[in-house]
Amino acid sequence: MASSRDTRSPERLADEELAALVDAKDSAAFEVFYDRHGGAAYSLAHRIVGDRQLAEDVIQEAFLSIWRSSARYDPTRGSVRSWTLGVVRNRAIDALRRTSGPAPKLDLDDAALLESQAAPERTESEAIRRDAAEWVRGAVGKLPREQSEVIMLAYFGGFSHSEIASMLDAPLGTIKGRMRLGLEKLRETLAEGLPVENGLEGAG
Amino acid sequence: VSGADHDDRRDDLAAYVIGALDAGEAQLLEAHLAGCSECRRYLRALWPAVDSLATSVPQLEPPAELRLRLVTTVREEAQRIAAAEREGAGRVRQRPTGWRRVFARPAVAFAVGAIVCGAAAIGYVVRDGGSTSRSVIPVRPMAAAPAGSVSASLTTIDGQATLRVRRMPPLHGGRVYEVWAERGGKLRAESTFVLRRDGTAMAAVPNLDGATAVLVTEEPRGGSAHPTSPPLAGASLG
Repeated sequence: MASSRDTRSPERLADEELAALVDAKDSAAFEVFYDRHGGAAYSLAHRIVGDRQLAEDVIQEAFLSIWRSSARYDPTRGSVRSWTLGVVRNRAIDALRRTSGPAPKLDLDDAALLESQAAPERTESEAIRRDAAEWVRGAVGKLPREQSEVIMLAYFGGFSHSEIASMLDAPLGTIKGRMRLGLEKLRETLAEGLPVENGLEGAG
Repeated sequence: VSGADHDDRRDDLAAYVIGALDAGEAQLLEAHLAGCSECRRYLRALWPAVDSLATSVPQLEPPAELRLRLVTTVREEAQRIAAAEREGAGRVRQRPTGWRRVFARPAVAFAVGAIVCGAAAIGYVVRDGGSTSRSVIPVRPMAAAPAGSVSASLTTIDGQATLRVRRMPPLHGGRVYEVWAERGGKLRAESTFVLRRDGTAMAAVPNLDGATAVLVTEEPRGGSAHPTSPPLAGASLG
């Protein structure tokens, strides 16, 4: 194994190459992998479970599952970043169900949480991620309330479409239809790089 | 496919992509996806929207202790795996020929003993903090395994173990691999597993108390109460 080791430093490798090295149990590659995705992953876990300690547990579980190859990068599931965040999201939802603690936070307004973070903890990379996050949040905020609501309940709350249907007292088909319309609109907004007022023309 | 069906399918895909389908529904949809390139294309088109949800959350800096914990664990495991692989590679080359004869016998009759005297190859033992005892033990191919078809190791922590398979022969017709713990010449079923698409697998060995060896056989769907085929791989617990 050592003889075939890539001589380039892991920092310079593409995400996909790095994922392959992590899978081959290269601990140096894992460290770079964590440094690239750990911040976004921790933020997502925290958003879902709403608790720092639990978010740490989720990240530890998720990244060790990636390291131990019980979760393995699948290129059909998008970029390494989105696959990693998918692993984290699922672990976080599992943790949420296990703890049966307070109901998950479902509102779009995370300003209060941001304010509660101690300023010195913020780093440059966090600032970049924060700008991107704010922009995307704007795009999500442009969705009709009935669409963003079902998407948030499912993605961050871990509720199934049937649970959401009974919560909102709406037919199953309606809930799934709202999810689709919301995701399609979000996708278009992102593709255009600018928020759009109504974006379903030319979809598909 | 009519327009309405088509829309329904897209609704399902949207629910699926944000994790809102029940496990059964998701499985059905995945079965459909495997044979439908149009649905796969649609799903791919939705991924960026899902990714944006994940990255839209307030961005926090993870605690430094979290990184330290992860990195420490990972470095330790990498060292153990590397050592187990060195040990395993060395042992395969000098595998005692006696094993071949012993394990060429009909199923059930193979039962053990031999694996213990075949090699007293505990990979290595790490004691951390005093009470926890961990070791990584190479899992060796046995006579029934085609040459070069097995690469695996067993990690034990305080009487429990995880079998990590990097390579085993592919399974067909719904068959599974079954893990057995040997005690005093008797085998007890521990767990069954199948291979991932890339040929790797993990399996739990819940109870190693008093066991002298761990063996893996191929069995019919659901596993067997007693082995029905000669073992393909085994590890001696010395």
